[in-house]
Amino acid sequence: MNADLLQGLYLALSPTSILATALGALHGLISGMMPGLTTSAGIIILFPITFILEPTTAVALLLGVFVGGMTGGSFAAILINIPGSPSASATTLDGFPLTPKGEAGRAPGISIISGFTGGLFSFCCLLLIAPQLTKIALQFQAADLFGLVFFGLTVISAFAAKTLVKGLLSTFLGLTIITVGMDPLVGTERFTFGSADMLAGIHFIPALVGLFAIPEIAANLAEGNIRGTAPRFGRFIPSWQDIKNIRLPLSIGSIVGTFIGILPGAGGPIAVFVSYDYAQKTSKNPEKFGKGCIEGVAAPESANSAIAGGALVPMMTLGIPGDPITAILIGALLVHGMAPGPLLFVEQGPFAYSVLFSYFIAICSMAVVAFLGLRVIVKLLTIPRSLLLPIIIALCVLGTYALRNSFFDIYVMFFFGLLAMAFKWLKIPVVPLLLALVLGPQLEEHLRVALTSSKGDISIFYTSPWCLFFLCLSVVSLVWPFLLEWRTKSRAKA
Amino acid sequence: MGLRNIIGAIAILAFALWYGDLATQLPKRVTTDAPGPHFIPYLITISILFLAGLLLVQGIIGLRATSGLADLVPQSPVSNKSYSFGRAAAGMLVIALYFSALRWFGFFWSTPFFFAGLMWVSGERRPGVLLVLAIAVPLFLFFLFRDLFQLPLPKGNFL
Repeated sequence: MNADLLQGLYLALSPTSILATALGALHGLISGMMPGLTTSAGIIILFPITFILEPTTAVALLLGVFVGGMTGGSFAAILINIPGSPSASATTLDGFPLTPKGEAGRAPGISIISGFTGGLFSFCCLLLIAPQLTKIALQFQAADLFGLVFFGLTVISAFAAKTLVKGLLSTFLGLTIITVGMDPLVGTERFTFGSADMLAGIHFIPALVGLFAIPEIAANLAEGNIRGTAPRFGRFIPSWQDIKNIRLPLSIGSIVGTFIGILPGAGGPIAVFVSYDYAQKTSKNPEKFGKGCIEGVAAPESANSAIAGGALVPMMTLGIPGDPITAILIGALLVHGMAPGPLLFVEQGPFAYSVLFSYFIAICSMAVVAFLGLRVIVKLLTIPRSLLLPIIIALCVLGTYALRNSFFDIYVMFFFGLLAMAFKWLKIPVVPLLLALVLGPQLEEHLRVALTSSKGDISIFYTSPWCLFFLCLSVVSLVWPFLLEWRTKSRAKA
Repeated sequence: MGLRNIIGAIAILAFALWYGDLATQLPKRVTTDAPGPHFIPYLITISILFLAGLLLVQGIIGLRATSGLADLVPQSPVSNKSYSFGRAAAGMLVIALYFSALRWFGFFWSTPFFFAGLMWVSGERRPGVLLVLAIAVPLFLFFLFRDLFQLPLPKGNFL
């Protein structure tokens, strides 16, 4: 058996890693569940702590938050009808109607079981696909890597916005930011305005913190000092009959969630609604959907959890983040000097496999922590926002400052927060901008290296099969929204 | 969305022109066939100008469907009567002041005032709660990060 794989398993099973994963899962459950907090915010809050941890432990902690946050978001959807994350939206359809029926405990129980099953399936796929994909990715030359990164950016621009123009604008505005600082190949200063702080470029962590935390804070301030109520519920261990009834929706959600999760930019909301739709179509009692049936909770919940494992596939093997949370995880890895991508499996094999196994432990920890601590966790819903908001800002300041001991990064964070609010007002998505910050440096480097090696001959981009393949996929992803719109209009006319 | 798209497009066009102008001042490498530091900024500028132009056209086309200046006002959730943009603006001002104060007074001295300010803005009016939490929570964070996690905390220039 692969020695790296065994060493990775050994690292992931170390007591500190397991403890970090369990604490992360608890933190994720709380962050996902509490209105005003999100999984992204939960990860950002923990960022400063990861600086003092070993890379394996740091990633285990963040993976715990990732997995816990997914299920926590669903608890909020079920118990108080507020989805904690966009991908928990479908869970409200059948989860919340169970609460007034006096079955508020049954739905979270189903949610935990479904999350565990979906996560387990996606972990198996991750373990099978990631090493094979890595072998292919290792053959890529600069032009192929440019094509791959270009595809990652176009697909996210196409899916993240309602209009393609706004998605692409967000991406290109993000690319302007990565050009600040020293030129990566020749070392010339670009757009630094003589500032020593700007010479090192805009670090994407303060930008990321600002993009996600500041608009959330502003939205929460506008809503006022809301104090939630802790709902009461009885037994939440599902019965054997419940388990039998949700077998098919669980399978549908796990498969759909994993494979949609692998596609960069496709995102959670698509996966959960697709699996909900399939579960309804294949159900013997489709009329029960939307009125509080457990199959309607199981399908989106298993998909919601499976997305995480799916999103880890492109992140770990190609260095392409599938969603904002994997972009944050890439940031955490980069801070520790680990660049995700095919080379990670070659140069840091045990660490790369430890990330995969930590994901598995995160799924198990989430299930255990959720079952044992749910009754206590829901009591945290009563914490007033007036206390929560300054704590979040203070933690953002600590995390941002600790990165490079720089006040400049704190101002960068605030600037990006204001930018995100302006984007929100203009209905321009911030996710493409964030991914441009992560992928932009690679895009520029691979493009220029490819052109340098071909002595300026652009035929290198269509004579390389892999590059041509990715560029064709990029064109398809850009044309796809127009095709969908055209088909919808044609159907409406018919 | 018509008016918003027009405002956004004009702002982005202005930014792209400024960025493009700065890009023209970057050094160009002529010794090899390799693209120089100006190459990507040029590509970005052209793309943004094209896309912002499209957004402007979309905005002008969409203007007919817009109900006057109401388009410019952010929509508040219908279900939430306590929704207040003034409170959000005041909160952002408190945050901006806090970030400025950090450079001068550091984390230890400025955070309690920030906590009290933001808690008050977000609706907490009980003086006892404000006083206790605004001192206790920042102190806890300070010692947690400085002594347990041993992370550097912002130190003020005055202190």
